[in-house]
Amino acid sequence: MTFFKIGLFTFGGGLAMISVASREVVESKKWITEDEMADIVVVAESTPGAFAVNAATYVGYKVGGFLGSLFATLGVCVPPLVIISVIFFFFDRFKENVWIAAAFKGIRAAVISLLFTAFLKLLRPMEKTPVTIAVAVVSFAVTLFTGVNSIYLILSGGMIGAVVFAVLARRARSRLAAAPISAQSSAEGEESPADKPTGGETQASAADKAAPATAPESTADAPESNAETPAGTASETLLKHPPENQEVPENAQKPADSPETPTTEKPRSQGGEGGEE
Amino acid sequence: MTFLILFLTFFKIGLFTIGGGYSMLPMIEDEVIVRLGWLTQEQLLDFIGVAESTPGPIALNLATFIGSAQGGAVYGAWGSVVGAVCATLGVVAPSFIIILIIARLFEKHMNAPVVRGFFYGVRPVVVGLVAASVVSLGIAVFLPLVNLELFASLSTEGFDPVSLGLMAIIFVLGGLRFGKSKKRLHPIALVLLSAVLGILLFGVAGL
Repeated sequence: MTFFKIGLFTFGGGLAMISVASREVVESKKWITEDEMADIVVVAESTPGAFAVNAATYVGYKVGGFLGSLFATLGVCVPPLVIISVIFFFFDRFKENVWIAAAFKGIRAAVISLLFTAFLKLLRPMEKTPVTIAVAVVSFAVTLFTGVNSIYLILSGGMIGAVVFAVLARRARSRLAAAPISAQSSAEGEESPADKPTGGETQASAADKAAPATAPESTADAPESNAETPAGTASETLLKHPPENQEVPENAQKPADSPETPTTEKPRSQGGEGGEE
Repeated sequence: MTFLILFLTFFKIGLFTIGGGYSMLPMIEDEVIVRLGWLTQEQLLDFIGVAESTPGPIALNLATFIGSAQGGAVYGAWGSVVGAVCATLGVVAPSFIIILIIARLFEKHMNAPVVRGFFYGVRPVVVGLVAASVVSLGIAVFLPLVNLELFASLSTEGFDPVSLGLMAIIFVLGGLRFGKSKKRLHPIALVLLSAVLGILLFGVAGL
């Protein structure tokens, strides 16, 4: 099946697979949309196990239910099984073969290009608001300059997203019901601005530019602290509050370690974002 | 017995690591080297190099390799085949089960505000993650002296203009549209082409 092909030509880890997979599944076969693909990447990245297997299982399920996922998973497993088993028997010779090494060196360079394509493919269906762009820039910087496990970024991103989304939905509905809720949430509302007093002030300017290394941090925080005040259904906020406080300081420390490099890298990712819009 | 241990060990590894192959490495080390004593540190490092450069997800490559090594050590050639299968199934099974459950739930609750909000927030995170991996892989390949530990196996000195040129060629080719149907080159064609170019440039021309 298709995933056999994908498994066979995935080099250097799951993320590089996105580009091959979306070509096959989205463009050639038209089984799913680019938008769904982006969601699948999110699920695959935030659940346990190998990214490629998760993605394969999910795409398989979407396309053909249980059987689809079974075949997709097997398809992605078989090539490594066969190839590695063969390599295992010739391991020493394989390591020293000049031609194989040269071929792989070429492939590695190409994988960068494939990864960049994957990046563009994920960027396109993403809603571009100051919040999402800020989150993208922060997660980019944090991943590049620190060893923070991506799951923390994903969880904080998810929580930020859930809160922001709740706020947007609430605003859109109306503010008629605001009176009783604000009484409840006042206890919550006082806490969060106190935690992050600068967040609200810097947000407006930083969200637009997001250029200095530390600014994206405050933009990522700011929506939360803003968000909690109006959103504040007491129970929801209580649930979300503690984990955020754990994670945000972790992120906040790290980019400060590398004050020089971010400025050189940032324009690149932003250029990509700007170009796409 | 060995096979059962292989399966269960890798089941555990698959179940408790999030974020794919590289985040599994510490746990594989703990389980396979420290707890079970199946491999030495050098053997694992050697193989991580190969797992990175061979097709297929790194997690699966590693599982297959360790399964082969251990099964083979105990039961000979056929043992290594069975061992590889057991380890691979072990590392895949948790993903498979969890994703099936999530996929079902997700289809039902796709429009719940919390779910949509979660994706709204995580999508940009993933975009950032991919962008970061472009840059860090780029550094590893083009500036091999700046050794990121993951790609320590590359050992040319200083800046590598040939790789950069090769990447540029592939990137441009990947962006062009060919023929009447305006189709871009298939990524797989690009990978094969890059392998050929790699052999020509690094192997034949000795750059």
